[in-house]
Amino acid sequence: MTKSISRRNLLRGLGASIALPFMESLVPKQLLANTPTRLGSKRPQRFAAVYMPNGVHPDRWTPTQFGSNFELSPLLQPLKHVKDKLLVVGGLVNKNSVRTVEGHFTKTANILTSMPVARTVDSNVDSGGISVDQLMANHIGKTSLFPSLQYGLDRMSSGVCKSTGITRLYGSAISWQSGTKPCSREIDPRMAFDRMFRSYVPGKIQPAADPYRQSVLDVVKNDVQRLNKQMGIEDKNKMGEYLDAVRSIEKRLDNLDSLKDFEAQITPDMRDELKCMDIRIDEWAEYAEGVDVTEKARLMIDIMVLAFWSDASRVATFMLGNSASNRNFSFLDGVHDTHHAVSHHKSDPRLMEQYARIGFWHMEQYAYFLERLNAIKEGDQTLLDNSMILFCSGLRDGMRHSPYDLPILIGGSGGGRIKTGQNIRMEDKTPLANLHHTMLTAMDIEVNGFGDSNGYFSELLV
Amino acid sequence: MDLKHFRILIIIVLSGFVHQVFADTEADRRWRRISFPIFAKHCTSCHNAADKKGGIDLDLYYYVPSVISRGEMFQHLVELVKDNEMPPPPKPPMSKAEKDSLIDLINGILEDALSAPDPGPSVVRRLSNREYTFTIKDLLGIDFNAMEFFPKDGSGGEGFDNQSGSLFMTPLIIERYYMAADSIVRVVQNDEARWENLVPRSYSPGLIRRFTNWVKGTVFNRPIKWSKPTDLAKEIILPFATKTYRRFLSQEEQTDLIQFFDTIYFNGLWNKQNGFNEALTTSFKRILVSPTFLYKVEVNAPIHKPYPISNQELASRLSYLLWSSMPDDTLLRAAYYEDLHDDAVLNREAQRMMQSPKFERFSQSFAPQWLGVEETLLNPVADEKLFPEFTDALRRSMLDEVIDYFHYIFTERGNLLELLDSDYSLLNESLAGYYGVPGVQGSEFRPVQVADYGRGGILGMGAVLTATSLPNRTSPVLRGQWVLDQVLGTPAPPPPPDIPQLEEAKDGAHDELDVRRVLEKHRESPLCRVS
Repeated sequence: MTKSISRRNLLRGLGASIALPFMESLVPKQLLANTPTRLGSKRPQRFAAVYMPNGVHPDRWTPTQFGSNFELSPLLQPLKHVKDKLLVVGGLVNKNSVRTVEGHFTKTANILTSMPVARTVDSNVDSGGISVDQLMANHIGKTSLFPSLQYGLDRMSSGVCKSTGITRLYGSAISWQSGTKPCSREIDPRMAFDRMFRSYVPGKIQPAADPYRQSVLDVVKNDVQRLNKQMGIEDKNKMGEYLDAVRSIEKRLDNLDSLKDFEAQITPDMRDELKCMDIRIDEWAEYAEGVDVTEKARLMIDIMVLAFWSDASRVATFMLGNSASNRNFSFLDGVHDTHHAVSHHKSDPRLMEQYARIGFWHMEQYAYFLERLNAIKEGDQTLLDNSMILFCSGLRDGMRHSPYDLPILIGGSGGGRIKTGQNIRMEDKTPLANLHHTMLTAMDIEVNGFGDSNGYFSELLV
Repeated sequence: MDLKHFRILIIIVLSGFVHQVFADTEADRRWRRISFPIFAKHCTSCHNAADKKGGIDLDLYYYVPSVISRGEMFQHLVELVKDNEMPPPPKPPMSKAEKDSLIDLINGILEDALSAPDPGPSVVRRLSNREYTFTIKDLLGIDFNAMEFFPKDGSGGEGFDNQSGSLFMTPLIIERYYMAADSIVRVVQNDEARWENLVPRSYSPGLIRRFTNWVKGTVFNRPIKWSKPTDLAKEIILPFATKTYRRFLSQEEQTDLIQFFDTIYFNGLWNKQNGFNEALTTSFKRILVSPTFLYKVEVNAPIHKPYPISNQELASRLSYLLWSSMPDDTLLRAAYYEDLHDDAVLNREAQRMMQSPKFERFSQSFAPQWLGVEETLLNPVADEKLFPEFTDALRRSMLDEVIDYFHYIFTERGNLLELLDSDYSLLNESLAGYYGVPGVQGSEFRPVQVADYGRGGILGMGAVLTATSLPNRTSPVLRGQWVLDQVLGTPAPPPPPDIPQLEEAKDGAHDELDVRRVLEKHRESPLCRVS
């Protein structure tokens, strides 16, 4: 544990910090320091998407003034410390989520693909195409250890929603390598942290070295070649998935040069922070009881921050809940119902108040993410300045299941490419995909379009 | 899946036939010759790979079997074309000649398909997490909870977690497979009894051998290799791989496995203490991450009509169906010495397997997924304040009732109709108490007469009634839909696209009305009145 905070304080802090704004004392001093990296002055761009289920309180989201001189709306209050690095975009619609047979899942799987989602009749799981984060990962993720990360808080729901023929898998997947291939998510902080950082935590007992992994992975590739000779086309696709997966671990775990490169850029500050995280995760596992997922959400966020900071990865997605999540939010003051239930508020003021409080909690987590990134210096900028952190939900108002005027934010300017610090309203029915296209353009990824986009917002680009 | 389809499913699974398409036939060519120009002219400007309007890409259907596999979709297409709904105005309509030839062609293909049932291609699929857990248990006697350790499997198609289309492989999953193999092998290694069972004889080179090797390696710089350890390893690795892969190994596979052992052993392990065992554990690990283990592979014959799968493949199908796991030795022996395609043999083995306690896994996995009740009971949405009695224990009991009832019918009663209706159910004390059925004590489930209490059959089960309810009340709509879909096999069509969402109607009066009145009100609306 670092000097900034003791174990006890931290534990007490868990309860207290929920409703409080971000506390600087929780950040180790070193985290605030300027840390040189091997990357020199040119900092990479990072991207993350934070997904929230069930929409937001429709009347407390959009700030009333537009342009750069705007007051944060009640729901956006948690973002007050990073307001000038925030872009509020209204009026966007995910058109392929309009008039679907189902209210949630088909508006989740395609939030980052902006394509139609297929009904699940037989084996056809299909979100329509690659998601924008994966397209970015294909371009900017290759040089980092992990091309991209997918995190969530809850296990995927099983089964197919019988009344609509939609697999619940759609409600737990926003990152898609292709329309038919969702990325798997990590939902456990310990596993997510260890996968990336275990080897670099000072003093941590390491598992016995595995000198034969490369040999094993080599020969199982031969197995694929052999099996392929007896297989049809669809089988070969399945084997292709296996082969791709094997190659991706080889590339990462057995490429000693890139591992050395990675290790070399882990500064002493980062190591201290890794150690601190390691302890926090242990404590969380030991003490986390009941329904309060705040600390778990923050651990996942901090792991993403560490990944961006150390350049372990440049692209991430994080689902604060699965689609139509019915999380019990009774750990919040004034909330005694579950999330999906209150989202069907029928304009009942008591339910709407709870709905707003739950939305506020989500904004606090998003704000925590932005502030952590903003606390890390990169040259004379911060990590947040070099990132674009998208916030999105597939619905505006849970009661209406409507994918119009979606609650959309971007935090950070992607290395000074996006004009932040303003509240903008696009023309009604502008495709959400135009924003995806805009973010791709801000990353110098040239595309003719994305999803159902019909242009991009040059006015948002610097 | 309804009862009728359930029977067909069992028949298809056990008939042991698959159909794989490689060759391009005259029928395929005719299909393309006639349909492709029409699609190109009228359809694929929207229904292509990029736009995929309505989720449909008509460029995908190159072969007749691919048309048959999406028969329902093509049937729908015929309807829409017939009614001039597709192509939609303002797009120019199809000419009569185009319409006729397309409709005749598709109808012809679908009718032919009905008269000659096609088992369809068999697609290789990964073991589901459930199957992985039980396979490891039956292979090594180790309890490894894959359901917790691996990212969760989604469900495809009819709602089952063993559907090929939703059993993906990703970098994260393969990493976990590797870690799992590693920890499973370590558990075996650290457990003397288990290890000896797997490796009855170990090996370490004697003094003379060490000296010879030293001379060979250091003095003459020649590669070191001698036959004894390889021979011994062969006797250990090959039987293990055969069992793990659930089939005989090809000559090439055997050579490959042994070569792998040799490479590891002779390059650095031979002169280490425990080196032989270390090379063996690495070989076991290699087998446990091989696609041959992780996937259920069936060899595809390059012919264009149904053909029988091999005996060993059929054994695997049978055991994964009934046990969620690999075949046992008895079944493998039957597959080898007898013919599982012989009804008498198949029947005998199926009966035997259904007597085994392992058959409970079938009921545990199949019944709740089939009825679609697992999700509602494990992640309940019921309003806790309205239903405080709906506790974790009660939920678990409701799920167990489904499983045990199903199992009881399958193993004791043998009458599937009792799923629909009967005068008994399987209850324990807490569930009987909840149902108001007196005289049941203890946590064991047992058959209880319930006819007087409105129970009996799936429609009286707490699990089913909960799954077809809203958080705060019952829902005649959901329940009706469930019966149409699950029991009768005639699902209601999805709502027409122009209906506003119920909530969008913004009818505050709904709250004040009881459910019956709300539904009557809905029925009055012309939009909602679907005939």
